[in-house]
Amino acid sequence: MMNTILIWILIPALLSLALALLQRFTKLSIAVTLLGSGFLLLLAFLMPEDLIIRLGSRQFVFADSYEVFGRLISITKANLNLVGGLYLCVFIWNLFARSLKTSQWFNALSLLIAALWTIALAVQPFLYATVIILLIAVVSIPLLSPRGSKAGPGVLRYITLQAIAMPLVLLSAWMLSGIETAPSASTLIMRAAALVLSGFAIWLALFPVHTWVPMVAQESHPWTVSFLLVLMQSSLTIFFIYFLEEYAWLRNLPRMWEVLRWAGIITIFISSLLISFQNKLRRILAYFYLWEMGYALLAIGLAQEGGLNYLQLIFMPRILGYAGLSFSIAKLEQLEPDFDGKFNALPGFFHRYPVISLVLVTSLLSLAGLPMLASFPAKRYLINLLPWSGYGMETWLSLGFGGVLIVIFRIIYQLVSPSKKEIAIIKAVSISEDAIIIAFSTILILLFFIGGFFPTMYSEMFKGILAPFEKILLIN
Amino acid sequence: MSEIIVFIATMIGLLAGLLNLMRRKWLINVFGLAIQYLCIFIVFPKAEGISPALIKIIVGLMSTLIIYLTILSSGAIRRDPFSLKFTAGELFRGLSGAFLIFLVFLVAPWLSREVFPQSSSSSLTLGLGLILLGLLQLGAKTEPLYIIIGLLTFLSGFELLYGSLEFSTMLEALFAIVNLLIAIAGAYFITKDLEPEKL
Amino acid sequence: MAFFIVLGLLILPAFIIVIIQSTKSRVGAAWIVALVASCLAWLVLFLLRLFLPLSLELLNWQPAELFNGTIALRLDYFTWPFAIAVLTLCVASIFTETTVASKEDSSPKWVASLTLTALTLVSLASANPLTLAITWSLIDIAELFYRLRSANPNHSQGSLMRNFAIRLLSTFALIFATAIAWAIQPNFDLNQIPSTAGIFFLLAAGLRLGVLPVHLPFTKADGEEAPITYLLQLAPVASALTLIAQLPSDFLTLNRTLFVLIQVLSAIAMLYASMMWVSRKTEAEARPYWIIALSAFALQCALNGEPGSSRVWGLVLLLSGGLLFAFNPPIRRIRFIPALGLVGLLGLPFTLLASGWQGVLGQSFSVVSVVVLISHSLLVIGYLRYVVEATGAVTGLEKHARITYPLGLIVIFQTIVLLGLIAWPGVLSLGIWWASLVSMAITTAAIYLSRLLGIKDLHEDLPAKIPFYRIASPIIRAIRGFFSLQWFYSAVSWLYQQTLRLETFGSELIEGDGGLLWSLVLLLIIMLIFASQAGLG
Repeated sequence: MMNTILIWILIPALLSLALALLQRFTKLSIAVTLLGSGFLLLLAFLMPEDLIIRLGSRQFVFADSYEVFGRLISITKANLNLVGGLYLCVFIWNLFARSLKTSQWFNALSLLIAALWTIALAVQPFLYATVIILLIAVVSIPLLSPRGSKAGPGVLRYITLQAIAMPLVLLSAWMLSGIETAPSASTLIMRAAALVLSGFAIWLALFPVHTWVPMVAQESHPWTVSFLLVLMQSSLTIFFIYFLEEYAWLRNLPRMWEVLRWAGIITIFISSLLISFQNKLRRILAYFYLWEMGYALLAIGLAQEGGLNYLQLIFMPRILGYAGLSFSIAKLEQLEPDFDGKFNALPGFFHRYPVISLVLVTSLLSLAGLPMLASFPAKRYLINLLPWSGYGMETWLSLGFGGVLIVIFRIIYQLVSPSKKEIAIIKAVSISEDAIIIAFSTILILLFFIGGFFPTMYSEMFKGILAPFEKILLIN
Repeated sequence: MSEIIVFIATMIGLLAGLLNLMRRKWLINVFGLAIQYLCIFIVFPKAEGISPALIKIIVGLMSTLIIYLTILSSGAIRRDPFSLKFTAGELFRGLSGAFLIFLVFLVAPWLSREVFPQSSSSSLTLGLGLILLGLLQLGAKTEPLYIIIGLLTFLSGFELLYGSLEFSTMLEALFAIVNLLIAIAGAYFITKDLEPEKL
Repeated sequence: MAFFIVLGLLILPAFIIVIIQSTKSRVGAAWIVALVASCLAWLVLFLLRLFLPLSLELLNWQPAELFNGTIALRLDYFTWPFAIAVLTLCVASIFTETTVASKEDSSPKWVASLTLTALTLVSLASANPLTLAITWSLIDIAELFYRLRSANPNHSQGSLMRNFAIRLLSTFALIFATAIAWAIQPNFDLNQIPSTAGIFFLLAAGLRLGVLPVHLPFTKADGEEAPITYLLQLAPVASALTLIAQLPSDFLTLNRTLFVLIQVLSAIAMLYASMMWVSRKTEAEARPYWIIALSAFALQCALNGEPGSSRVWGLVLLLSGGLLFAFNPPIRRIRFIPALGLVGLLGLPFTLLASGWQGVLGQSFSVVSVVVLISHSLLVIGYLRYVVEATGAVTGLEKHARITYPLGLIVIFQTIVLLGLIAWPGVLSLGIWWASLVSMAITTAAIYLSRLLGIKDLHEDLPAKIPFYRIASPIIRAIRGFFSLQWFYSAVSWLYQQTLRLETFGSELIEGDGGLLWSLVLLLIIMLIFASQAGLG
């Protein structure tokens, strides 16, 4: 009998090991990664509810758990949607990883990281995932800080903060085991809540422990950063919901949901404020991550009003947004070796690289939630879920759009501005955008529009994610 | 008798942590890290047998060895002459660390009574002390090697504290992997930083 | 379904023209295709007047419990007149383009006109805020890329971006207005906007029109060689005008402070834009002020609780304005044709604008009513001035253009007359007859006074002829500066710069050495605040 653990954890881990040895054979390495991740994502999305695949008269029954060191690792059909999403990211990002000159370890490590996130989401009790999250951070080092470049402070801060978050959550778990027997449960709850929320604040990179995100984005390859961030964001938000689902004491804390909503709104506002002052493209990616994190938190905070539906709906638009944004930044950096990533170096790019510029602008507008683009449906309905009566939360949320729009206008303005005379002369014969860039960009832009006009398509992809969270959903 | 040894190990462990925080001499730091792990082995609770403590020291010493060998092979150690003089920064970090240790001694009885009744006072003191010293090291330095040493210190302190609360084979295994990988990451950073930057 | 025919008649020819031009340049054939198709569309749309209201569901987002939203269109007495007006401008622009198309290939402009008109028709027929938000974005993006394509890459695109930014802001304002209304009534149509949210929809429309707060809509891209077609200037504002027309009539009783603020801002915009309209050097320069001024009139109707009346002001903006702006190149011999646009603008009884006076003056006569009358007469003076001053190098037209050019202008005038009769039941009315008389009296007095002072060219002669102009000039400048709200934008810019400095300092602090400890300390403080707020402690 086959096992889901074997398929989605062991096979990619072994593949990763093999790829580590094959890394010098670029084409083979890419082919193996694409085939492997493609197979895993298709199987994850196509797997029937009963985990039995029928091919003619033959049946392939998949077990959904496996025991390691006396602990259970389990991947059910409900988990498979997210797992499929993770491997979808591996597939998309590996398409261009090598051509965009990321680390030579990218093929191998991307598979390993996806497998590790899968373990983190599958291990029981799920608190052990805390150590795996730290493990993922350490494994990411060669990707974030490849050989030939100096180790920046961002990567180190990333590892450090992940290491600090882990004990906070683990200690809270230990404290929880005493809740039933403790004479003064409220004190214990308070301590555990403070620890677990602090741990999550660090993991989710909420203000003021967000600094590693812009720092890493600034010093590492945008394609790599976006890959790690998209996996992290998708998995961590679901992981946080696991906590709320499993721990009644946490979700029943007085005003807990309101606190989460406020945390989301404040994150949206602060990231929007900070993004409006940025002048480097790479950092924009980081602040959009934080902005999206705010929305994820807001969706979780609005769980009682049905917000979680929009959390799963935004997964695909976010993947597309990050892919488009980081692809265009990486490609511009590649095509223009002198480009330092600053906004004031952008003038003339719209005319020199119209397709890449278009992808950049569309990705930014989609992430911002412009109507007709992919993120709009989810963001719109999430905004509509707010009570809109006291003008407290709502005002901050509205302001939270301002900064993002300001930076988008600034970028577009720079893109369409004429290039400086001396540069214009040098760049008279510029490197043109090849067919692959045009094809990928066209597909990406089409997908943005499909998401904007037919949101049902993306909501169907990840709808199973919410199935395990009956307790939270029952609150409705 | 064993209590005295444990107490001495606690003190030495804290002093090793303090030394690592203060000085920026690679050889001293590596030596301090090894001493730290040795002290953790002595202090680590033996309720589940000696094997958990053994795992800690083996993993710890291996991590130290990885860093040491990398420094040795890279030749960086020769460029780092030994001196007994303290710089202003070293003094500041030393004083801050000493203050933290003092603070740990001050709050440890309360914590032992209120939050961690299962932990022995030595595990709690050394664990908490290393956590705080590690944290200060992480906050006060930016060079990769010291950050890695800070991380190892911080994690070793937490592992000691957590080991005194509950035991899980899987968690121990994961901790071991994390420690080794962090050490390897440290080695990677040291090697990488000595390479010429690609233009 | 018939509405689809109209859209098809606009979009298909656009494709056909692109195909025709891509193989071999046949400007004549392309022009015929554009003209025939747009005229047919115009006729079909006129016929649809007999079948109003018409509803059409384009897309229903499923599952309903998740999305609760449809993309739908509706043609009724609020949207149909605007649709006709926009289509008329499209037809007229294709007719009149022939005079200026002789030197270069104008087919891209016709394609743009047809496509933009189709998009605008969809936008102003939006049945609900979701559709409206999507179509606004679609138009803005399409317009941005069209203008960028035709702009000179060696010139800065500051004004283009400013315009795009404001448009986009208005779209987001619409999204937020929808959210406010959603809390009261989910999934509503534009003709069911809840009263409490009405003001926010008004703000969104005002922002898009350049009225709230007053700012200049786009004139032409910096460095753009050819003047922008008037259709491209006027069409995008139409959907905002339909939104105003559909606002609830009782929404302003709910928030008095906001009401007064908006009314004052709107009156400022109205007066300022009218003054600027009359005093600009050329008509092209004055165009944006025409849009602002008449939009402010439309807004005023909504503020007075008569949003339905705003329709006529919107139609005057599009049609009378269109007639004047389409008069390019200006030819002295036929300048009586644009002068016919005054039929729409003067507001005489039983003309199109007659039914609009009630809405703009409100129930009781107030200071705002005086501002309205003065602004109206300023608009009339300006209109007259630009007709009278219309002179150009072109003295004659090519053979075909001698027919098509005036025909294009007459189509607009004819639509003004027709809409005055059949736009919606009750459009033909006496209106407040004295308002138009007062406005005309002010206009006549002003013209008489200028003649008395010997002012022939308003722009050139005015400074020299006005007594004590040197003393008055700084005061006028100050008033103009105040009304243009430049001081407000400067203040916002200053605030932004100060916050930027603060942000730079903060970032350096928490991203630099020791930043980790700062972050952790701040997290601790925030956790304490949250704990106390959440009742955890």
